[in-house]
Amino acid sequence: MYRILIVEDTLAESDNLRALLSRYGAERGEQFAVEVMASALEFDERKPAADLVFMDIDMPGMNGMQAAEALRERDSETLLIFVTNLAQYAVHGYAVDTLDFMVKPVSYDDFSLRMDRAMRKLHKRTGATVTLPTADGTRIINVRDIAYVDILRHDLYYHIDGIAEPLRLRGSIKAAAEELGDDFVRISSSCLANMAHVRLIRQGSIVLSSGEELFFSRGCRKEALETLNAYVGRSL
Amino acid sequence: MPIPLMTVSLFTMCASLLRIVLGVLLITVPLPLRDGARARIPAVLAGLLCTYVFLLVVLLAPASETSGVGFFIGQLLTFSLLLIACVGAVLFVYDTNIWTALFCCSAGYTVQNLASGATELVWTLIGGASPRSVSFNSPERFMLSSLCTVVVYIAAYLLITRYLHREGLERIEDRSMILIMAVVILVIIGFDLVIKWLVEQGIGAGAMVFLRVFHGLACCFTLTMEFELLIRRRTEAERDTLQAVISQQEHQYKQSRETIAAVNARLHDIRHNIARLGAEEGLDSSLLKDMVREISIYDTKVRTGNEALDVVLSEKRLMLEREGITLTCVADGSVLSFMASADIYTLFNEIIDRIEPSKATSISLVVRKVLGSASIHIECNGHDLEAPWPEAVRGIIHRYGGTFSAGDREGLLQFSALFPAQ
Repeated sequence: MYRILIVEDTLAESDNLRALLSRYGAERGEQFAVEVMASALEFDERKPAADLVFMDIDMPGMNGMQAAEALRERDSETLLIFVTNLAQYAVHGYAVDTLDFMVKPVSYDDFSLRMDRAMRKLHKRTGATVTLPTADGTRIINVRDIAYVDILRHDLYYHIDGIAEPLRLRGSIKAAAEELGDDFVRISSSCLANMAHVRLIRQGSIVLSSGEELFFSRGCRKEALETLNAYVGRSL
Repeated sequence: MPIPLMTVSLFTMCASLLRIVLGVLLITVPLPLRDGARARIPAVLAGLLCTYVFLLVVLLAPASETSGVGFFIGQLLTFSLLLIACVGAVLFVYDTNIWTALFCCSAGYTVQNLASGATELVWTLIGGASPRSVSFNSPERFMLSSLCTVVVYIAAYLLITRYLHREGLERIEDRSMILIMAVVILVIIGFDLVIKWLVEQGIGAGAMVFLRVFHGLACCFTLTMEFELLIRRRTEAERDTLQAVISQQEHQYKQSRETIAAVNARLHDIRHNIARLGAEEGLDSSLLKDMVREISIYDTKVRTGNEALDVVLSEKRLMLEREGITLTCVADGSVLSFMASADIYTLFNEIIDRIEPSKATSISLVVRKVLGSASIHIECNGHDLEAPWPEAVRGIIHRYGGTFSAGDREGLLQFSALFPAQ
């Protein structure tokens, strides 16, 4: 169940959003715990935990944009969608990492398009794990902690955040790619990188959060950039 | 009676084949490899060696002497057929078409011939002796040949390979490649063999130097001609088409910019008048608020930090609004500052024009910096991907070193473009 918060001072608008959420949940088989707050001030004071916040911009006292800025100072994870009749302000929503905005009165088509994107991001957060039978025993590793995997003479090396030495095990890069899933991109015939760890995409390489730079092989570059493009598109 | 085959050792044969292969490789570097290339490459090398031996046995062995016309024709046929075999080899290893393979082989062969001609020239210049005294299998000769090859190939790498790497060697669909191939066979290979034949006939060193310089110039001219005819003509044609679209759109962009400025100025006046009416006449403020809300539909102002993006989005939003389609944009236009205004206007115009108003109901557009790269992401519901994206979209994105993908899933059209950091 996902926690949804509606910050909206007009009752009719918050009721409309509740109804849209209820219809969306029924159609997509999702369950939501919905809470409504009538002011941005209350939201800022109570600091409630939520997976997704629908935020009105034009509210008395503290406006939605200010509340979003305050939210981002303490939390970069909560998804945010503006619901507004002030479209010109919401264009700058990238500054507070908003997913998108919807113009009032919100129609179901407008709602479902943006909700689909939000749900794709929320589903991705559920962390998958892999079991790695290493020489020191079996390790269970969260996939999102794996920065990259490379292969040297039939030995796979899993480079994992927080573990100084890479974990070594026998296997093929193809099998590793299948096991690790869609968030990994093939950089070369001997290397897979976790796109969640990428901090910079260059024409010929990627830089990971650890500062390591992995270079595309000539044969993989075009496809790798396309995969990264699709990943960025999915994560926006 | 000398047997030509005996004058050519297996080692020399392998070395000369290797030079041809490396010459072709200098040109094929940007091409994508076929699946299983690791197995294909040794097979191709073995195949080329067998072909070479076969051609030597069939075409050169029957010749009675190395200075005869029969031997000269045999050599011309051998190297011409080897060139054609190289085309087959390129097609076998690389995922490309016959015209591109012809281009690569003729250019690669010309580079190899240039290196071979340079060897002959330098050998004559430093030897000073009669060219007839040349021992083709001497270690000095092999060293000089290797040195000339390295120098010429490095120059070719710097001038040609790097250019191809940067600009790409896309599929060539130009049948005039056959003509280029004929020129290479006749002018480059033929000329080279004629010089060698003249040497056999006892030509003087001075005349040989003269002919070799001309042979070198012919090689350079052929290479230049190939690139002029193919790559430049192709890219220029693409650029012309793209430029025509952009010029057309640039005119539209200027008009739109003026129209939008006029609409916004008028809207500002109306708002000002409403506010004045409210203050002076004491009209009901809720009624006035409703009026302001009503006219805000015509508020076309989209301020993203990039004027071209503002104009195109404002214009499109107004048009889509009329069709009952919502367009929302979360856009940091400054991330597109590396693009020319006309390109931005054309790109977004072409993308949004692909969306059919009768099918779509809502469009979401995001432009922002992600992972150090400029990213454009557009989603549209109730739509599917029918025709391929216009060349202008592809051309503009590729011109800025970007990549894009588009797809539809369950009636949701998604378009993403990414411009990696330079």
